[in-house]
Amino acid sequence: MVTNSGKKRLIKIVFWFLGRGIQSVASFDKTVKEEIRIYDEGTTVMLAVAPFGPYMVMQKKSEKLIYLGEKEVGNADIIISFKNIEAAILVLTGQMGIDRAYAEHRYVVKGDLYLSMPIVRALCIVEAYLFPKFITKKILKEMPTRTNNKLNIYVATLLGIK
Amino acid sequence: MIPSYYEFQNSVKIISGKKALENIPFELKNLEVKRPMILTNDILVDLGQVKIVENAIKESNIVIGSIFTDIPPDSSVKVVNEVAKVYKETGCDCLIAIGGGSVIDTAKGANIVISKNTDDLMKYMGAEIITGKLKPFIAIPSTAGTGSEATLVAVIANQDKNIKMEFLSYNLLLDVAVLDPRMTVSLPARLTASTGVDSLVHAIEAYTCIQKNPLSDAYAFAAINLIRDNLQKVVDDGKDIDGRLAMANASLMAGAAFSNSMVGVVHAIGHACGGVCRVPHGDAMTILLPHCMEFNMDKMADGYAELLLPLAGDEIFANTPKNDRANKSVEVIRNKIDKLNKTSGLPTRLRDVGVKKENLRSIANTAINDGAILANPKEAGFEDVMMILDKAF
Repeated sequence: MVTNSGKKRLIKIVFWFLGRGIQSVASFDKTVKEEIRIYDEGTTVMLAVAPFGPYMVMQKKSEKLIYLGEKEVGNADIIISFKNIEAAILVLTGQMGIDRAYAEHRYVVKGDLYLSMPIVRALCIVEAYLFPKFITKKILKEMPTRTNNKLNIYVATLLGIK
Repeated sequence: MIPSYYEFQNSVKIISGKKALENIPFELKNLEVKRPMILTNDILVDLGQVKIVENAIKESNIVIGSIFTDIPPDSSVKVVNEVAKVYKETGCDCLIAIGGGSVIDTAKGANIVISKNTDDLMKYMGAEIITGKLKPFIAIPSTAGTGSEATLVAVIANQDKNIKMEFLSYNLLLDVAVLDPRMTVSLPARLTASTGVDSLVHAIEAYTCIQKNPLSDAYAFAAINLIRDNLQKVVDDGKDIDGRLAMANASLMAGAAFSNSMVGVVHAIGHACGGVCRVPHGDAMTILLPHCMEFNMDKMADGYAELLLPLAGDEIFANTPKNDRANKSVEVIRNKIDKLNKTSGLPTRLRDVGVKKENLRSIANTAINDGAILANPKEAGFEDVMMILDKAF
């Protein structure tokens, strides 16, 4: 049985991949690049696990969405916060899609719900690049169109290329 | 099939029937308050509906603290703050909303400002971040459509920032909803039809969205049964008291259903039509419903097939082969809308409600960022929404 501290460590690792993954697709996937234009310069988005973390923070900077790391920020414009660690594990380990998690009230959103949608779609597209097909088939309603290839996004994610 | 996990809450006390309004003093006493602020609009004052409520409260120790009538059709943060200011100045201790969705949503927004003692409503934007019990709140719907008296959501426009702020919280559910046919009996046929179809869409989307659960299904099914038997009746004869009461119940039940199951692509596009081209919500619902059902058909045929029973009744359901039932549901809806079009002038195409071809891309871009699209059973991207809009145009 995995302990809570083990689960937190796992979430931190997934947050690191997701943060760098979203940073990559926001630069190298045309669809996401277009989507994030909706955000004003400096918009901060945080993913969190209630009540004490972990956290993952991103910020819009000169047409890119930059992964800022795992330090909690108090004034994020949009906060998507999983209600508990089990809910976060379900989504972050590919057992449940983000839309299903929303439907099941697994997370709360602080901020403009309209502006939370592009980040939700970006998460789906990152999953389509980084997760194997047998997982994405289960958690995505439909496979999103990828405008780049998986290898490029993997490399950009691992090396932190923006 | 039972979902592996779901949440459901409908804690609103429902008082339904002729002379139901006369119970309000008792309900206020039950809530341990006695100085309500009434929120409504000038039209309902002119029509005499507010007077009916005042008379119902008269024989009691309840003192109306203030009556605020300046609520526009779109709830706004400016009005919400004004309401909260008057509430405090006049020493009120609870809210009574008399009206449709905009009045009830304004009251929900004001209740956040009052209960949280804040001057910045934007701090509470989002899903499930409003905590704690708000001030006692009674709603008396004057239309049978939005179902806002039974939902956890409020939408308030922020004109300065040009956004529609959405607030979703179980704590926004009000304490009592009073359904009295006197409140809807003077609603014109055209408005009766469009608000009635709005209820129908709430129930259909609640039954087919990914958050559906056995309780929301029960509410949705019951609502559609009532709409089938009563919507056309009250459009034809607005004075039909039993029909009016049935539609008020249908609206509330459909509201409770979608409050716990969400709405989908019909509402996502409908909200966008309202935002971009000011299409009245009920009109947008009427126009979009059949096209969106056809779009969802490959993912939701079973659900639509089940809905043929409440939509058309047992005889048609039994006489329709199982595999044809989903398409038959769409056909039944088209026929109902056509009849409403002939009897009340309800529109059936976007071009008839002021939408221009060049608006469609902007509507589609707005629709895909509406939260309702997440709960739709089928992924709906920009091109999908454009296809639906083209058909509905």
